This record gives sequence, structure tokens and C-alpha cells, in this order.
Amino acid sequence: MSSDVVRKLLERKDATISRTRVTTTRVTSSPGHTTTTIAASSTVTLSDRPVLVLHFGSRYTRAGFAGEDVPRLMLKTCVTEEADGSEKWLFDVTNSIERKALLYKFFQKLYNKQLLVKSPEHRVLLCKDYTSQDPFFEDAVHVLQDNYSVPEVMVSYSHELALYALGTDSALFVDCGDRTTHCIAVSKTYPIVKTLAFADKGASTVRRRLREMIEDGDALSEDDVEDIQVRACFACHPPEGVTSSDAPYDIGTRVLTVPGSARVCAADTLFTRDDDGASVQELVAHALNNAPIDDRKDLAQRIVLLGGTSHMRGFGYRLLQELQHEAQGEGEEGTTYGYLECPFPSNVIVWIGAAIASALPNFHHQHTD
Amino acid sequence: MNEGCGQARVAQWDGGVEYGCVEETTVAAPTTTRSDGQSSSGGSGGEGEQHVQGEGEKSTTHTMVHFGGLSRLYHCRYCVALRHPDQLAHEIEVYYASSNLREYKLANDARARRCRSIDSYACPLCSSPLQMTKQASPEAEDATAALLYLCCSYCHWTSLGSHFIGTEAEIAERVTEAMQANTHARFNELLGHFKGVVAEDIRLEQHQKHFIAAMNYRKTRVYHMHPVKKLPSKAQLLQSVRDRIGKRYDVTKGEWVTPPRLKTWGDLSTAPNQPAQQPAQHEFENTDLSSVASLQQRFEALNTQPHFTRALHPVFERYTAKTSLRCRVCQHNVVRPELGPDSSKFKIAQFASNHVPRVVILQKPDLSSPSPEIVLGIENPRDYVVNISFSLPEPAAGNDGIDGQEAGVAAEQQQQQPVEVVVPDKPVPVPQYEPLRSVEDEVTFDDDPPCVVHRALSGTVQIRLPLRVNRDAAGGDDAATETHPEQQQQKEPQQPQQQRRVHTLVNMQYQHHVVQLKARAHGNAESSVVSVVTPLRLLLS
Repeated sequence: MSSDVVRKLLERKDATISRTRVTTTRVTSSPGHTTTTIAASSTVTLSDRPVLVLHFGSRYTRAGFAGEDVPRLMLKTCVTEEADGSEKWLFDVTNSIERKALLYKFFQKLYNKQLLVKSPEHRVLLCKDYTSQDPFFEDAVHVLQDNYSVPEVMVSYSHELALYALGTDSALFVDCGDRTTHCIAVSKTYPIVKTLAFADKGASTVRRRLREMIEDGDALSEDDVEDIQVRACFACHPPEGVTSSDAPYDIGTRVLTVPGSARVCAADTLFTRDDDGASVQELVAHALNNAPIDDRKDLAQRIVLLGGTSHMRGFGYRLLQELQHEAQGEGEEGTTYGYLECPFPSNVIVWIGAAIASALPNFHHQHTD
Repeated sequence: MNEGCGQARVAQWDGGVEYGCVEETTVAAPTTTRSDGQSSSGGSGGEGEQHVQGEGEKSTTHTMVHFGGLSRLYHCRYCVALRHPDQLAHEIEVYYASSNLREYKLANDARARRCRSIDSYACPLCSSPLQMTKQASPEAEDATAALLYLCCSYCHWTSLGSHFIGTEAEIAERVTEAMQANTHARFNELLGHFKGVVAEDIRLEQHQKHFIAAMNYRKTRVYHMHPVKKLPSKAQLLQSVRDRIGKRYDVTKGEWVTPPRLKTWGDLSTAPNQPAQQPAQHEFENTDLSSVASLQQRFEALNTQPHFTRALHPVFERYTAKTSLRCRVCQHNVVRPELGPDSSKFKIAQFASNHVPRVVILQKPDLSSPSPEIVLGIENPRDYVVNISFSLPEPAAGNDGIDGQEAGVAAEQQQQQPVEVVVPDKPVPVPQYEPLRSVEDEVTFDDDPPCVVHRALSGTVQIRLPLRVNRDAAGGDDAATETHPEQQQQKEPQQPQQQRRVHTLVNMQYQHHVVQLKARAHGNAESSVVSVVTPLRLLLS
């Protein structure tokens, strides 16, 4: 967990330790969340400056300020090389030095080109998944503090933050991102770690499948395939008697045809068990089976979809269909599944929760006192 | 290859000229790799990410940071050093909307507007600025009654048919509403609730502190010394305790009060067990993908992220900013623009191209000829005469700070120079840049060294440097593996033969600056297809 971040920080040179304080506290009055704060004693007046909230997704990063109801922007979690225009994705890099260099460029783009704010004026809150890479966040903290003079960097778990946006204390989160899908139940503000289950599938798997199904799909760029996936594809199959039609797609140089079968079948990879791991409905079933027996019924009706891939057309419908189907197969017809009502789009729920949490007056003090 | 020293060739070679600066040994991790990226951007052969320059008498190690083209660089006049934009602090001077240059904001106002314009709008489809146009209505005689609507001059999207029609104020109000739809009310409700919870927490905490302080104070008093009234009976005490259940002692009122009931999760949370909608039948049959919004279009309306383009709405245009650049070392401004968005002038403009002589290779040498030579053009941007002297590079011996292998490679390079430059003895004066001088006023220097080919307009000089080709050293090269010497070095650092393709031809020195002219050998000596070469490196010492 973020204790790794803490430990790493403590191993740093003495000069840095002397100006950093690290605390982990648990709040009981508001939805429980554990936040690690790395605070540098600083003379910058921070009272009137909102916290910069960053939620790194494996393909898109949400950035904005605390107290605002939507992120300022979504930008790709990559750095474009000036020489050849190629994109280097931050989560692809495993070497720490190289990743720091990429993060340096990424934050430069973020601060100087997109957000247009000064980095020393805003504290930063990073939202972190249970399955995300710890070294990535360590490097991000280092780069923000060393190169951008950010006075304080906080790292908090995204599922605990999402509770603020939902206004509830129990939910079953299904986070379907670009690379991984994972599932975790939170009951009475406490995440139940035993219910955590994940599979290496997401939008990237769908794109890979789509390439295979489109004629000459390997020649397409990743952005084109993503666009086809967003605009032409469905996560569910059409109702009885309806067939999906072939759709022409203009890629600039030529017009290619997206077959009707590819439009509805590409996302099947998410709902079938294959080499990449279990299907999404299996993850949900795993989480429910490992949840406390008294909470199962409640959690089954409080599913919350997170992540950009769950925005795919018909994703929620298909998941419910598959869950019902699975329940019938196991002779549990009485189980009903349903979603928790939430007006926010699913890919920004975590960010909005973080924006609420970090706008609270004691968010800073309770972690540094 | 030999002929042609016209403008086209100058422009062509300009891309290959690479500048950089020398830094002391330790370079921060991002900087090192950044230099790596830059060196690969330079294209034609460099010596890898770190170039080691032997200083002779000092024997200190320097790290060469490759910067790329001169046009991207800045010059700090206080540090007397070239600065890459990454080495400069960016400071925002003023925010402005690019489609309305009269509107500009300072930081506080821009922050209040979430960095979005007040009255310029962006197209929901293509994000280009929208124009406000009067609706042509033949019935309405009165010109003031004509309604305004928004239209995009790039993709021809219009707000006709939607409700973004009306007066300017009405349009602004409706766009604001659309940008707050779906999230704003619920967000504020949640935020208000949690703020209430936190405020109550803080109040209880303070109350508890006060109570403890009062108790501590009472412990210090000696009440039993004084006659007190009779203690209440046990039943009375119990009754008073029962009365206080669920109540809180209010210090300001001095009595026990029932606290207001807080909102619970049940009041706040939304309904569970919601079904999901299946996409409609016509969506599966829809073949017009332009009716479905792309990701970029959805990300411009993050509050709703509609699936169809018909549900997209115009948004307020994002501000852009004018930034000033400040040297991170000496904290002096390097570039400072004027505040007005419609002004393209600078208060301070220390561009590197205004300070550093530009060196271009005007004519590539034909090494197959008996007396090959290279023609360089040097342009002096300063308003005083600059003397440029040439020297052959020092042998790279005595580098204490580097590991043995690298030093050995460098030494080997020096021994096996396939091409050497015959440098002029005397410094070459390059006249000052005088834009007002006419073409007829030819600049003449009486003591011109014979290498000077031509002095063209003000501030430029062309020099010819003879080359001496060492056929034996160039003989071992293989043309097939020629294209990416940097990659080869990274892959096979153990083979010094790969490295001698890149070698220093000559050092040019003037004032503080050293320009290294690098050469790279192609092919073998028999066919004599040894071509020179790029890149020039500018070192600051």
C-alpha cells in the first residue's frame, strides 16, 4: 500500500526527511479513508488555493481542482516524443529513471500547457487503485516534490474517495479500465480486501479483438481503433430479430467497413473467460461470494461501475444479463442485481469523490496533526 | 554534391545542426534522459547520450546536454549559457481567449472562471471558436428583434434548432446551465452534507477540549474546604443523568440541549437496484457513425458525456496564456512578453539565435577529389565584430572522471581520424550584423586569412577549410550498418570499431563558446564514398 511510498521516502536523504512529515490517520465521521500525507513544512500560503486532484487512468488522466464538480480536462496518460510523434505511455515504463523523465514531461505538459497554474501553489491529491503500481506513485511523488516544488502530495485510495461522490457507505465497485478490470466491495465505509479480484482485460483487449475482426485492421493506428470502438461498438448483443449493420468508417486515406458482427462481438472478450483472465461477471461473483454473508444481498443491488470502458454502450445491461444468467445456472434465481443510482458519468466518479473529499476543511489538518 | 551553396542548402543543413551545452558531472535524472531524447531527434550521428569533453589542464568531466535546433533555445545573459525550455521556469503573465483578444484576465479572475472565457464559445464538434451571427428572419422588420445564434466557421455547426439562441446574455446563461447540468446540483448537495459533518466534528472536538479544561480547572479548586449544600440523592442524580441522555451541554447557553439531527447516509444516498438500459434498436442499425460523439467531443462536456452528437452543447472557450520564462539558475527573466494579448512584442527576449553565431555547412566536400574541402557559412547576429578561431580537438587523455572504456574509445577515435581539417592559423573576424547596410558597401578586412571565400552581407562570412583524408582509417567501415550509429553504440558498446565513424573534425572558438564540428564517415576508402557530415555542437565553457 502507500506505506511503500512512506518507506521509500524515509530512505531518502536526510535533508528531505527533515522537511517531510508522514502520517496515516483514519476518519470516522466522514466515509472512512486512509490517506497518506507527505507534507513539507512550507511557507507558501495554501489556504485559498484548491488542491489539484489527479486520477491516473491507464489511458486517460483526469485533472482538476477540489471543489469543482467536473474535472478541468481529461488527457492521455502519455508523453508525445517531439522527434517522431510517437506516444510513450507512462504505465508501460518499468525503469524508474525513465519513468521519472516521462513524468517530468507529463507534468510539464499538464501544468504549463493544459491547467495553466503554478505548481508550488497547489497541493496535490493522487487517487490510487488497489491494483495500481506502487513504484509509479513513488516516482510521481518524487517528481512533484523535487522538480515541481509541490508543497504536499497526498495519495488516497480511489474506492474510498468514490464513496463521497456516491453518498453511500456500501457499494460493490466494478472498475473496468483500459488495461485491467477489478472488483472490490466496500461495506460501511470499510473496503473488504478479501473481495478484491482482477483480470488483465479492458478496453485494450477489446481493441485487440477489434483489429482481428476488421479487415486489414493491423494497419490501423491505435487512435483509429479506439474511435471505432467508441463510436461503432456495443458491449451487448442486439435484441431478437435485429441485426447490427456494417458501418463505413473514414480513416482519412480510405473508407473501411466495420462489420456488424465486429460491432457487437468485439466486447465479448470482456464477458468470457480466456487467456487474459476471468470474465467481468466472474469477478463480480467472486467479490459477492467473499463478502460477508449479511451484506451480499445488499451489495448485489449496489453495483457501481467505474472506469472508462464501462462507458461502452450497453455495458451495464450486458453485465446484469450475464450475472442473472450465471445466477440461474447456479440455481439462485432469487438473487437480484442492480446498480446504485448515480448521476455522474462512471469515468469521473472517483475524481468527483476526491474533489469533494479534498475540499473539506479538515482534509489537510486531520492528516498532518 | 559539390555545387550549390544557395539558400535551399542552407535551410536543409540547418536541421542537422545541433546545439547543446556542457554541464558539470552530475545531471538530474530527467535531464539526462531528456538529453538522450534530444540527441536522437538530431538525427545524424552523435556520440551517444553523454559526450565527454577533455579540458586539458583542468581534467574535469563535463556532460554534454544535447539541445537540438538553435531556434528553440534561449540565452541567459547573466549565466552566459544556453537554456533549453525545460531548464526554464514558466510563469503565466496573462490569460486570454484566443478568439477574442480584447478579453484578458489575471490569475485570480481566470481561476474564478475555471480558466474559461466569458463570452467566447467553442464548437462542440471541432473545438474551434464559434461566431455569433444574427438570425436572418424575413418577418421581423425590426433589426433589434433578430436573434443571435452560434455558428462554427470551420465545420458549419450551428446552434439553430437548439435552445442556444437569443440575446448574448441568454446564450451565456444557457451555456452555463448546460455546462453545469447533471453534476452541479448533486455535487453541491454532497459537498454541503460533508461540510456539515466536518463542522459538527470540529465543534464537538472544541467542546470536548473546553470541557476537559474546565474539569482540570475544577480539580485545582478545593471545594471541600467550604461549606457546601447537601449533595443530591442517588435517585436525583440518576434522574438528572437520564434527562441528559442524547443531549449536549451547550457552553454558550449554559444548559443541556438536544443537538439537531444530522443527515444520515440513508437521507443522502440514492436508490439501489437500478436496472440498465439496453441500447435502442435503431442504434444497432445506425450506419452513420458521425452521429455518435467521439471521445474528444465527450471530454469537452465531461459533466454529461453524451453518446450522440446531437446532445452536445457549445462550451466556453478555454483560456490560453502568455508565459514568461525565467532561468532556474539565476532567477532572471529570459523571455517576458508584453501583457496585451494583441501585442506580439517582448519586453525581454533573449533568444539564443540573437546571441550565438549560426554555423551552417554550405558545401559538402567530395572526399574522392584529390583536395577535398568544406565550406562553412557563419552568421554573426551581434552588433560587434567577433573573432572566431579554429583548433583541432585535444586528444581525450587525462579524463579522470570517466571510466576507462569511454576514455579508451575517445583516444582511439583521435588516433584513427579518417578525415582531418587543416585549420587556419589566424582567427577569422566575422563582421557585426548591420541590417541597414546596403549590399554595395562591401566589408573588407585587410588581414583576411586566405581561407575566407566570401563576405556576403553584413554579419556573414563564408570560409573554406581543406580536408585531409586518411584512407586507411576510413577503410574498415561498412556502408550497410551506417544508418543509426547511436543505436549501435547503445547496443554494442564493447566494439570500438563502431564508434570511429563519428569523430570531431575541428573546434571553433570565440569568446566563451566552442563549436565542435563533427564528421561521420560513410562507405569504404576504395570507393571513396566518404561523405561528411553533420552535426555541429555548440559547447559553452
